[in-house]
Amino acid sequence: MELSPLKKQVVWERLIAIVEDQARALMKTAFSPIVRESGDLSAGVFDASGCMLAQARTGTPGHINTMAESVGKFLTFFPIDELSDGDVLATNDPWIGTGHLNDYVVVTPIFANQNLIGFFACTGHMTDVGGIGLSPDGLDIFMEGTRIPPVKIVEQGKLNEAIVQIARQNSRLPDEIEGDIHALIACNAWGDRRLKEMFEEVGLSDLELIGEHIIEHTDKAFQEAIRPHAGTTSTHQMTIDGYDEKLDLVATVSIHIDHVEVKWDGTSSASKFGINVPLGYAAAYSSYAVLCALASDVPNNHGTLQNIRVSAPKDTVVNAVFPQPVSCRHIVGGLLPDVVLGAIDKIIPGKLPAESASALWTLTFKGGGSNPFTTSIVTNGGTGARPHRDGLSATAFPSAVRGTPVEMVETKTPLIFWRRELRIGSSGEGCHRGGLGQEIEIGTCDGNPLTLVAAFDRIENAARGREGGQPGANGALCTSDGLPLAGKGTHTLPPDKTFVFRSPGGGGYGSPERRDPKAKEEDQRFGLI
Amino acid sequence: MDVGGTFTDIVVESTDGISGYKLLTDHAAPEQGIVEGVARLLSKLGKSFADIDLFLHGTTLATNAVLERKGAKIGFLTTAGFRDVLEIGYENRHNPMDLNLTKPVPIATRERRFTLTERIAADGTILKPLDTDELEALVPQIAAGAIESLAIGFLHSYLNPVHERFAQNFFASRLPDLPVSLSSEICPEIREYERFSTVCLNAYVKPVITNYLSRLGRHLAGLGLRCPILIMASSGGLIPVSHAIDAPIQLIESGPAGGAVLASKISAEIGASHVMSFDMGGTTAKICFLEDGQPNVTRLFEVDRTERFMPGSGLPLRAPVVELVEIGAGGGSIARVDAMKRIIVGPESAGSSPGPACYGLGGVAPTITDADLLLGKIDGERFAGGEIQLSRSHSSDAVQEHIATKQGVSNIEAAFGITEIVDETMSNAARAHAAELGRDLSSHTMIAFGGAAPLHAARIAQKLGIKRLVIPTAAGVGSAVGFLHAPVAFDVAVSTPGLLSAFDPSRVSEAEDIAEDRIRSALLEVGVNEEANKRAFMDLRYIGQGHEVEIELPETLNRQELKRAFEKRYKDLFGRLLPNTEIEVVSVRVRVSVDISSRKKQGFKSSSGSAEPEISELFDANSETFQPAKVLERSAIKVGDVAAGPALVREDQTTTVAPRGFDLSILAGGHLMLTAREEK
Repeated sequence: MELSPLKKQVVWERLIAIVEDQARALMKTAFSPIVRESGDLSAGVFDASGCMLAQARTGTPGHINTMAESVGKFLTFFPIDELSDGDVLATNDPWIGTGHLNDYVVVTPIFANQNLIGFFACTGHMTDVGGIGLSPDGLDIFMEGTRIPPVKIVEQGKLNEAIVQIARQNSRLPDEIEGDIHALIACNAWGDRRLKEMFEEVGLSDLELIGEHIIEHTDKAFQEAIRPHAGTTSTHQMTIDGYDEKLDLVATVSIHIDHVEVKWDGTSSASKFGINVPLGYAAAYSSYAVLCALASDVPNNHGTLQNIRVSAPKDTVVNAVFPQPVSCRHIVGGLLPDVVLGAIDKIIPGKLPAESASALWTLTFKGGGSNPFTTSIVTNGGTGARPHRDGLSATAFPSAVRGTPVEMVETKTPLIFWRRELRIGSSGEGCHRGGLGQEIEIGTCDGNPLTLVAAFDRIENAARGREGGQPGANGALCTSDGLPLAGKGTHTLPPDKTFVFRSPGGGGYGSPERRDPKAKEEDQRFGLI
Repeated sequence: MDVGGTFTDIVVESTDGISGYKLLTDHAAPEQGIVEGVARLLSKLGKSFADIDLFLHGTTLATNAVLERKGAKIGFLTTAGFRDVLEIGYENRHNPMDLNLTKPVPIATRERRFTLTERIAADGTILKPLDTDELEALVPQIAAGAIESLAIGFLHSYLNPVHERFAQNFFASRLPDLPVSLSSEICPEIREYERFSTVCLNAYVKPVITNYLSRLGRHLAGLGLRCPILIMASSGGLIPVSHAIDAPIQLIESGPAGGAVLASKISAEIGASHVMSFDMGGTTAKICFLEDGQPNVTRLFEVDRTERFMPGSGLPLRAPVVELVEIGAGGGSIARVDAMKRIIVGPESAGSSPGPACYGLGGVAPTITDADLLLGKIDGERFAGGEIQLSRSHSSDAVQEHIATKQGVSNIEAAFGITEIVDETMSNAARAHAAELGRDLSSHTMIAFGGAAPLHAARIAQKLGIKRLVIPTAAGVGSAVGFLHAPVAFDVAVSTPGLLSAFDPSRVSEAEDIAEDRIRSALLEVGVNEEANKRAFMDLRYIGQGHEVEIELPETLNRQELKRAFEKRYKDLFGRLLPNTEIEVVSVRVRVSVDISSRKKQGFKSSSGSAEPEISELFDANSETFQPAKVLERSAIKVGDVAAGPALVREDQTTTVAPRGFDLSILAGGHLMLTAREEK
C-alpha cells in the first residue's frame, strides 16, 4: 500500500504520541521513587529488525540510547521465529541493557495477523536489586546484586513466576520490585493497544513503510547536518576524580561524510570499584553529546544512532567487561558528554557550553537503627556557561531528571534538611558565568547514627571554563565540624553531627573582563558572587 | 463576558433569549473594551446598565500579568536555609536536547527573598521557634525594598501554619498597607517548590487584580450598574470580587473554565455521560473530559512556560483548576515548513493584531483561519458576525509563499496540509489525555464551541472515532455562555498523609468547615440563601507510588468502601491491582457549590437567514477533493429536520462543518447535533 507524504507525517507523529503515552503510564504506576519523581526511564517502538523508530522524550539519554541497542541484542538470544504473541522479554544484564543491575529492560514483540511486525521496549530503575546496594564499593558484578539473564518473563501470556520470585527474594524491597516489573510489562502492553487502534484507523497492518520513511528521512537530515564539517577530527581530554585514583577520559571525534565516529582510545583502565561503564552506556552518552552539538533538531532514532559509531578499547573505564563492577556507571557516564563536547568545540568553536558539574549528586542514606530506612535524594550542581548565556544553577546535565522535594524526604524518613540553597561563589567566572552548585546540610532527628554512601565526582577536578572562562568551584563533602570526607565510599556520623554537601559549579565562558557590567551588578545585588 | 487572547466575547441573557457579541480584545485597556462592548450590545437590545441583574466576568488578566511579567514587586519570606527553593525548582531541563534552554526567572528575585530562623518538622512539631528579633529587623528591609506585596512560605506550613500566621499578624500591625499572602492559606499542600511558587504567584497578581476589579467596578457603577459582580474562577465556580482579591490565583484559567461549565450544562441536558469538550478560539484550543456532567478538576497547573506548550518549562501552580489540555492551535496559529519539509502549525499566533493574512490588517503569515477560508469552510463575509471582512487572495498568497512553494505542492494541498496537521495535533493531545484518565474515546460525545471549533470538530471526531458531536447554541461565544450556568463554588484541599487503614475521617469535616464558611460569606454578598451542594474527593495510592488516584468519597466514610472505590478506579486506569500492597491517603478535597442559575431555559437569539440552501464548494478530507456542500442558516433549521453532509451551517459567530458521512439535526434545546453514519 502507498502512504501519502501527509499521511506519513501523521503516522510518524502518532508513533511519537504513543511512546510518550507509554512513558507516562510507566511514571504513574511505578513504585521506584527515581522513576516516578525523577523520570529515570525510557520507552520506545522498534521495527521487526530491532531498529528504534521513536522514543519518548524523557530525562535520561543513558536509558534511551542503550535501550535502542538492546532490542537487537535480545534478538541474538531469541531469534524472531522463537517469539510468539503474548511473549515478553526482560533482563537487567548491564551489558545488554542500560549498564547496571538496577535497570530492567522489558521488550514486547508486536504481532499483527500472526506476524511479528516490531517491538515495544522500556526501561526503569529499581530501587533495590540486592547485593551491597547502589554503591561504588563493589569489587565485581556479583557483589552488586542479582543478575537476570535475558528471559521470557511472560510466555504466551503466562507470567514466569519463578523469575518474579528470584527478583523478589533477592531484593530488600520485594513489593516494590514486583510492582515495578509489572509496571514495565503493562507500559509496553499499553503501547501495543494504542498502536493497534492507530493501525485500524489509518488502514496500516505493519510498521515497514512508516519505518523506512522515518529512518530514511532522519538519516538524510542527520547527514545534512554533519556534512559541512566532514573531514574533521579532534581529540579532547578531561581528568576526573575516579574512586581511588584520577582517571583520564580521552575522546577523539571524527566527522565523516555520512557518519560520526567517537573513539575513547587513551582513556584510563577500568577501576577496581563500581564506577566502570559498559560500552553500551558510554556509547549512549557519546551519541547524546554528538546529537546535541551537531543535530539537536533531528529526531533520535535508528536513522541518527546508526550514524554515530562509538568504540573504546576493552578493559578501560568506558568499556568495562564482565565481571567488572559497574553499579555507579552513571558517575563516569554522566561526565562523558563534557569530553565529547570539548572535542566538537574545536571543530565548531563558539557554539558549545563550558563543562558542567555533570555527574548527579545523588545522596544515598541509610540509618534508622532498629527501624531501618534507605533513600536516594537526587541533587545537582551547576551547568557550564553557554556562548551567549550564563549556565543554569542547580540543574541536571547531561541527564535531565528532577530533584527530590525536601518535604517529601522528611515525611518518609527521619532525615532533616537544615539548609538547601544556592552555593554562593561556586560559578566559574566568565563573560557568561557558570551555573551555581548547591549547599545542602542534612542530619537526622531520630537519635540514630546516619550512613552516607558517597559517589560524587568533581571534588578534585573542577568543571573547566571555555574561551578564557574560569573553572567552577570544586565539589566538597564534609561534616558539620568541617572535617572533609572522601567523595566515594561509605561514611557514618553520630546523631549529633550533620553532613554538608557542596555541589560543583559550572565552568565560565569567555574572559571575565568581558562580562556585561549590568550582569555583574545583578550578581552582586542577588548575592550570588 | 469573557476576555480572551484574541477576542472578547459578550453574552446577554434576558427574557428575550441569549444574545452574543464578539470583538477583538483591547490589550491596552481591557476594562475599556469590555465597557464599550457591553454598551454596544445593550443599546442593540434597547437596554441599559441599570437593567442588569447579575454581572459575570472571566478574564485572562491574571495570566497575562504573569506572562508579561507585569505583576507587583513582591517579597518572599521563607525558612532560614531555604532562600532559593524558587530558583532551584525541579532541577531538571524540560528539553534534554537543548543546550541553550532557559528556565523561567523566579518572580521573587533573590534580593527580595528574605529568610527567618524558624523550623517546623514533617510531623508538625516545632523544631526551632520563630525568631521575633529577626522579624523586627525585616521591617526596614521590606520598606527599603519598596515591596508592594509579600508572600510567606515556611517548610511544612501545610501541617502547622502557626509561624506563618504569627508573621502575618506581625506585619499587619507593623506594615498595615502591605498585602500579605500565606502559603498555608493559598495552597496548604506538601511539596515546597510548588507551594511557594503558588503563594508567590498569588502575591504577584494581587495588586493588579485588586486595581483592575476596583476600576471595573467603579466604571460600571458610574454607568448605572447596580447588581453584584461575580468572577469566574479556574475551578469552574463563580466567586465574589472580594474573594478574587484575596486569592486572585484562582482566576488563572478563568475563561476556559467557563467552557467546561457550558459542556457540563449541555451534557446534562442531552443526557451524555461521557463527554469530551473541545473549545477552539483565536489563540489556543482546549480539551476537557467530563464524566456524568462533571469536568475533571486538577490541582497542579503550569504558567508562563518559557517554551509555550512545552510541559515542564513553566512555573508550577497548585490550585484547583478545571483539567484542560491546552494546545497552541487557534484560528490565528501560524503555519510554517521545517528543515525536514514537514508542516508545523503554531504555537505562535498572529493574535488580534496583525491577525491572520485574510484579515488584511498587515499579517503575512499563513494561519489556520487562512487555510479554513481556502478550503471553503468559512464565509468571508460573515466572520465574527461580519465585524471582519476576510480576503481570500491574501490567504492564498500567504499559503503559497510560506507552504505550497516550499513543499512543492498546490495551494489547496498546502491549505489541507495545515488543517490536517493541526487536527492531528489536537487529536493526539485528546488521545493522550483520554489515556491518562483511562477513557475510551469512542463512547464519548464531543461538545464543540469557541469561534474555530465547529470548523474542525467533525474531522477530529473522525480521527478519534467519536460518533456524536453537539454544537451548542451560541457556540461561537461558548465560554461566556458557560458563565451563565456556573454555580457559586469553593474548593478546599488539605494534605492528610497516612495509611488508609488508619484514616481519620475528622480531617474531611475540617476541610468541609472551611469550605462552608467561605461559601456562606460569598452567598451573603450575592444575596442568595440556598442550601449548598457538597462533594468530597480523596487522593489515594499504593504505598510507595508517587502518583495518586482520585475518588469521590461515598456518603459514609467506611474504610472498606474507600478501598473498594480506590481499587475500582485503579483497575480502570492501570488494569491490574496489587493486592499485597497497602493503600495510603494523600489528601482530601471538598467542593461546595450553590446553583444560582434559576433562570428558565432560553433559546439563542440570532438573525434569521434564507431557508433555501445554497451550494458551496467544500474540501473533503477523505477524498481530498472539493465537493458541493449545502449551506444552511442555523436559525432556519427546525427541530426534526435532518440533513446529510457535506454541509455548512452558518451563524453569526461561527460555521459548523459537517463532512460527508455525518447527518445533522437540531435538538430540542436548539443545539446542533452531528452524527456519524454507520459505515457498511
